[in-house]
Amino acid sequence: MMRPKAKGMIFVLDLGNCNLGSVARALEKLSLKYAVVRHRGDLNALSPGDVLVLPGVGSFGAFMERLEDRDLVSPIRNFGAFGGKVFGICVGFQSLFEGSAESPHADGLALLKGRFERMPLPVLPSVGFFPIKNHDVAECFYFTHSYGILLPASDALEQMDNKLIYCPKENIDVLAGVTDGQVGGVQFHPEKSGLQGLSFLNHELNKRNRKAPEKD
Amino acid sequence: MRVIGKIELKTDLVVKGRRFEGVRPVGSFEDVLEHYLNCGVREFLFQDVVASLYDRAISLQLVKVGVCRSFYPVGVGGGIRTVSDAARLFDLGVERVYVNSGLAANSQLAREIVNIYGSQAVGVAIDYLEAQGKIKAYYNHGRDAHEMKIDQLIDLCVSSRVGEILITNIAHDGHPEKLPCPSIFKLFSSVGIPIIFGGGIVPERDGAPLKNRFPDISGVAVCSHFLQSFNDEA
Repeated sequence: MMRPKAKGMIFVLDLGNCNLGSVARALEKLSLKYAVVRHRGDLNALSPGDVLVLPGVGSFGAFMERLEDRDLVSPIRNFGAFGGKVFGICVGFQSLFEGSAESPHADGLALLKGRFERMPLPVLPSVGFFPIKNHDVAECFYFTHSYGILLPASDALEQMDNKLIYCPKENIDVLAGVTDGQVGGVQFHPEKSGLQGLSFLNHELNKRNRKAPEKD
Repeated sequence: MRVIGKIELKTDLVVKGRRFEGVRPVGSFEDVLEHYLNCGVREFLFQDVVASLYDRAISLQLVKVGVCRSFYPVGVGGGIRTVSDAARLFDLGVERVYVNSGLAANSQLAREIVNIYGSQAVGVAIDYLEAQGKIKAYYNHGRDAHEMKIDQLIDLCVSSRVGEILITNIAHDGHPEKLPCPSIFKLFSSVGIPIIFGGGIVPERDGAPLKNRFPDISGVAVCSHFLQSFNDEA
C-alpha cells in the first residue's frame, strides 16, 4: 500500500550574486520552507521529490562560470537528468538549455533542448510587464532580458506542449517558460511580478514538490 | 509603457522639491509606498537626493522595507559610488541601481557593476537642463555640472553596456502642470538602450504622445503626479 505523498524540500541556489534575496523573500511570503545550496556538498541533501530552484541575473556565461567554479554543473545536470525536479528563473532558466549566443563558448546544462539568441528588437534589454499568450492567467509578468528562444524554434521545442509564450513586440514570439515537466522554469521573474507572480511561483513549486510515494 | 513610481528620500523621510530645490517632507515612506501601490505602480525607484551631497549611502533599512513590501522590481539611486555599494543593494533584492554622481569620480563605475551583475542591473541617471539650445548634464542632484558633455555621457552609457538610461528634465521637476519638452530625445535616437523619461510627467496625459514622438522610449518616471493624489487624500 502506498502512503500519500508528502512534500519535498525546496533548495535554492546561491552563487553570490544571483538574486537569492528576492526569491527567498517570495518563498517566505508563501510560507514555503527552503534550504540554500552554495557548494557541491550542499547538493548531497537533495533527494527525489525535492525541488532545486535556480534563480539568476546577469549573463549566461557568467552564470555558468560560477556554476563551474563551485563544481555544481555535473551534480545539477545529473540531478535533473535522473528525475530530479529543477525550476529555473531568468538566466537560471536559460542555463537549463544547451547554450546562448550571449556566451558562445559556454555550455548550458542541456537538460532542455534549445539555444538562446539575441532578440531582434530595436531596444535591449526588453524590460517590462507582459502577458503570457497561452496561459490561463490574464495578468502580466515582469521580464528583463536580451536573449531569448524565438518561436517557432527547433522541432524538439515545438513538440513540447507545456511551453509558455510571450510577445515582446508584435509578430515576435519568445519562449516565456516551460512548465509541467520535471525540469522547467520561466524567463520572467515571478518573484517580482506582484501577487500574480507569487501565486504562479507557489503553483509551480507545489506541483513539483512531492516526495516519491513510500510503500508500507 | 512602463510607469515607474519614483520616491525621493532625504535620509528616512519622503521629500519633494521643485527643480531639484526646496525639498519639503511629504510623509512616511511606508504610507507613500502604500499609496503608490494603491495607484497601481508596479515598478519603483527610490532615490536619496542628498546621499551624494553627504557622501553616504541610501538607507538600506528603507530599501529593504520597500523590496519586502512590494514584490515588484525596485531601482535605487543616490550615493552609489562603488561596486560594493551596489552589491549591498543587490543583496537586498534591488533590481537595478542608477548611477550619476559616482560617474563624476569614476567614469568606469557603471561598467564595473555591469561586468559583475549584468546590463539589466545598471542604469545611468542623466539629470539635465536646457538653455539657449544647449543641454547640460548635472550630478549631486543638480548641484554640480558634469565635465562630460551630454553626448559623451551617452556614449559612456553605450560603451558601459548599461541596461537603462533615466533622463530627468530638471526644469520640469515638481511641475506636473508643464507638458514635457522631449527635444533631448534626438540625442538618444538609435542608442538601443531602454530610455525612461522623467520630470513633471503625468502618465495618462504624456505617455501616448511621448511614445508616438519617440517610439524607443521604454517608460516614464513619475513622482509629483502620485504625490499630488497622496496629499489630496491626506
